[in-house]
Amino acid sequence: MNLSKYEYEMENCFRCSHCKYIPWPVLKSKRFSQVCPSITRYNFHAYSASGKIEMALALHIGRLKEWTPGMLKILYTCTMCGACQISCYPNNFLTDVEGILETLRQKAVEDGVGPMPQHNAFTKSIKEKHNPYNEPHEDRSNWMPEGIEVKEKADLIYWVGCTSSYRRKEIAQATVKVLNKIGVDFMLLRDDEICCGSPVYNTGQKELAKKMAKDVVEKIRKSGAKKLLTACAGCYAMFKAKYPKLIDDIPFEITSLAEILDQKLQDGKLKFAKSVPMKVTYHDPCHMGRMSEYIPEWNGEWKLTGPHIYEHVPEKPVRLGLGGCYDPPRRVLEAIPGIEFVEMERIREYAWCCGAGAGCKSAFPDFALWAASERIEEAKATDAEILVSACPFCSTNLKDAIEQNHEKIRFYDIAEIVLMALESTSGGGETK
Amino acid sequence: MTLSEEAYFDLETVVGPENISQEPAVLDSYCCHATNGGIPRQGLGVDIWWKRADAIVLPGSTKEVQQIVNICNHHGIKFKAHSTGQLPVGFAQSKTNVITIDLRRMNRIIEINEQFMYALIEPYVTQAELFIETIKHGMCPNMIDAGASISPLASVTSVLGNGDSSITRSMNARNPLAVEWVLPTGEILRLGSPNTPNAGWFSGDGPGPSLRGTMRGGLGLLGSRGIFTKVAMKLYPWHGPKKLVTGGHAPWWEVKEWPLSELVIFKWDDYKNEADALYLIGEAEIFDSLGRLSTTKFEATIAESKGEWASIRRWNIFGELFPKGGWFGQIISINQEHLDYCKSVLKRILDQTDGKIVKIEDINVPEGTKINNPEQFAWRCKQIYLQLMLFKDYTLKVCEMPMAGTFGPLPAMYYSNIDTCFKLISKYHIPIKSKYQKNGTILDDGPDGIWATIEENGHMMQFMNFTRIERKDPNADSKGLGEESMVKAFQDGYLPYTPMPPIERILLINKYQRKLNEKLNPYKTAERSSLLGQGGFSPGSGGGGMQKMIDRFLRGRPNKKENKGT
Repeated sequence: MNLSKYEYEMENCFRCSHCKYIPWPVLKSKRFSQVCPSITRYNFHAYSASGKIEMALALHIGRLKEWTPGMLKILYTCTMCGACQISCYPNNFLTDVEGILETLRQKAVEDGVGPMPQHNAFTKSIKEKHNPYNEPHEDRSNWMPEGIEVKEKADLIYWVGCTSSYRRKEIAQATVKVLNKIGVDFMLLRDDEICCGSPVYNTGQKELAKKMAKDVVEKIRKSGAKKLLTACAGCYAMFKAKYPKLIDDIPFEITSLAEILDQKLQDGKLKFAKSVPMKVTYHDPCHMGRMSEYIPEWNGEWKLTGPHIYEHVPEKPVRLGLGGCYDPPRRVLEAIPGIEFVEMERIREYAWCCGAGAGCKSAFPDFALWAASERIEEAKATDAEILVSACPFCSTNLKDAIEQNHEKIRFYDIAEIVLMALESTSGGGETK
Repeated sequence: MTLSEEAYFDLETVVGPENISQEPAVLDSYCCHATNGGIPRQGLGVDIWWKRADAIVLPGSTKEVQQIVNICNHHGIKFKAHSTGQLPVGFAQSKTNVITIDLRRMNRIIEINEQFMYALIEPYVTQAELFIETIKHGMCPNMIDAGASISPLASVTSVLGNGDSSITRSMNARNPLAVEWVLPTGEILRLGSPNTPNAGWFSGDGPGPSLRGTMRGGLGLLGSRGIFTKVAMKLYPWHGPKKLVTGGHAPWWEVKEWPLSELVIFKWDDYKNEADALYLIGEAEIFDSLGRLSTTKFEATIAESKGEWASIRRWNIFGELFPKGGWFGQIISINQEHLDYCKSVLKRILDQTDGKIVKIEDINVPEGTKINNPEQFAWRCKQIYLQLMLFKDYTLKVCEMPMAGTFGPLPAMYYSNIDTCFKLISKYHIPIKSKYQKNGTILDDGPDGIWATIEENGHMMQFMNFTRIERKDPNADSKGLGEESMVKAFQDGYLPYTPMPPIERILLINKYQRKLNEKLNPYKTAERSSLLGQGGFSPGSGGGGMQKMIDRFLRGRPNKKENKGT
């Protein structure tokens, strides 16, 4: 990948350190002021978005002659969570941080040094077994509980995702039970489902991701589904924000369980019957939030349009996280009787990443656990008993941190909480 | 790379292998900076790269800093420490055998003392963090205009430190109380009260040694005289809410105004009236924060993209509205009567001096972008300046957008009484900037880009005149502008970034500072600032670019008696 198109932008980082912190206007305390797990953990400036941009520039102009293991560590201990972009842009609208970081990963792959060996291992598994966990493909549907009504043909297809299929089966199980209880018909690809390509895209393997995206879209096209539901944030962002950059035509809508539930609540077609007396806080998965916003590829150029006026032509769109899914899960939780919903300090488009994404959980598991532990500390500061999220990969990492640190706080996916609220003694939620 | 294996081993033993690095990409991230180094010169372009240090070290405590300095002295290694690193003053200056000490791990607010009204902080606490924690206690620090992420410790120990709030909270040169200082000899010196057991950190002048003048002088030495590891910073009363109500989305976050706060914009059509009014405003003590607006500042902050900025620039609506600048003030009152009083005093002063209140809502915004909605436009203006007043968000956008590295050189800071500042503005800044705008080497965004603040209710004023240069423009050249503006000022005995004593006095200060340097930095391991000189901007400690310019000027000066000074 060529970094040339970012040259002007890379030269315009003025080291203000905004990329290290949540946006200052929404700061609540010093304890939770940081937004980037990578610089917060490793401290050298090179681990911040600014430092990585400088590394990209130094590579681009030949100041850094070749990749080193240290540079790969700097590059791949980034969760590609996108928070730096949100903090940077209001003060520096010249620099497309996310575009530079993504291109740098793709360059590492093209240069034959990336991704990390652990990423190569899961890539091999994806190629051979269609999942990154080296699990047999034929076991993909083993999560399915008994007694679930799945339609042979429906407008809605439930895309389970690899993590829910193999590692967080309880999320897939709760999701289909909820769908049955609220009366939403759905179908499944079952053994036709394969990895969406998110792990390979986010580790810089764009070409492979492109090929996978084509295969996936073709399978869904053949199913006849008009809408794809996924309870996996990683898949959600891949379908919503990355696929349109990889392939031209995506003939279906993308939604999440939270959005379906929220719509039913808004329409007055769902009411939760059972009280779930818990103090709950919500972790915004990066891929459900800021990273799920689609930003089209920009193919313009920088031009001098007047004396001392040098600008993007046409104007370059930048991800600000505005299109993320933030309110639906919150409205759903708040609609459940008994739930006392409290917010953490770093939320929505400036949420702290759990630390698992973009290959960090596999290549740097200690770092991923540390980042999750930071999130757990933040959740604990709200006095919540339950930490809820909507991502099986966040679920894995956050649960690991809870277990490792012997924390009392419990984690549930939003599907599990909703299921509790629907499984009343009278036989489920009230739907109309 | 010249650091010996033995020296590296010694440093690693102190901080641990995780906290020292010679990785080239890590080293490069401490020597790349778009600003200041990015001043274009015609035909030569810019170089944003500085010298590479031999290693980066991350100490976690004062003891570790002391050990590092001792190792540097033992091995003859130069060191330069920095805090948040927004300015490249902490970057390495020597070509070889130098380490950069990044104080990022030392980031604690150790104490917020309500009784004696100070915060005891470490180097990597940012001013936005300090602000948000101290308002919870009904107090706040002076907030300098350099941005939310800057280090208050660096500001109070090593730089002048002005901001819009300086009208009530002084400049940070006057805000350090007790200080913990690792001298270049490796000794730890605690100035003032902390040397007395259980006395606390309330005073820098005793009981105990008072060396604040030596530590930083009036202007600050940009950390070239050792490493400050703790400072007790003076806090002031805060009458706003203890918790700000915030919301919104990037790029326009929202801070809700509160009932007893009022933001006011006003302007004059001539500098004499403006100066007279500023003295009166200072004497009346009606504002919590007050800053001077300029068209170029307005244009940069109101835009959310470079394209939008380009449209706003072409419209020139701010140039038409504020041909001679304006002021933006925030009144924070304790009750309605006080708020009404402040507003009525302001009105009377404006009436006396032909000043005018400006209502942003009345600006006729051209069609064509998403800010052509007057309500949205006014909201943006208000939010920008509220957030600038409170915690200095958007400051970097003001300085560096829409083209980074163009914050100079005419803005070289001047600092004096209000009358002298306006004399300099009229005599040098406006004509010189106009000349370079006409020949196309800088952006024509109006001659008056003056950004200014008032200290301590009118005692002093600090200003800088922004110029913008797009280095992609083939005519871009700011070097001549910078040199001409400085030389013209020298001719009348003025220097940028100083209280403007005559040059002869500066030279005496120089001798004094050199003597101090010899005593405090006997092994010459404490690096001078990489910005301009050994004392950074301050010409007093000599050795840098500024000093060379002074020397060059003095050599060629036709008649020394012409220097008047103030």
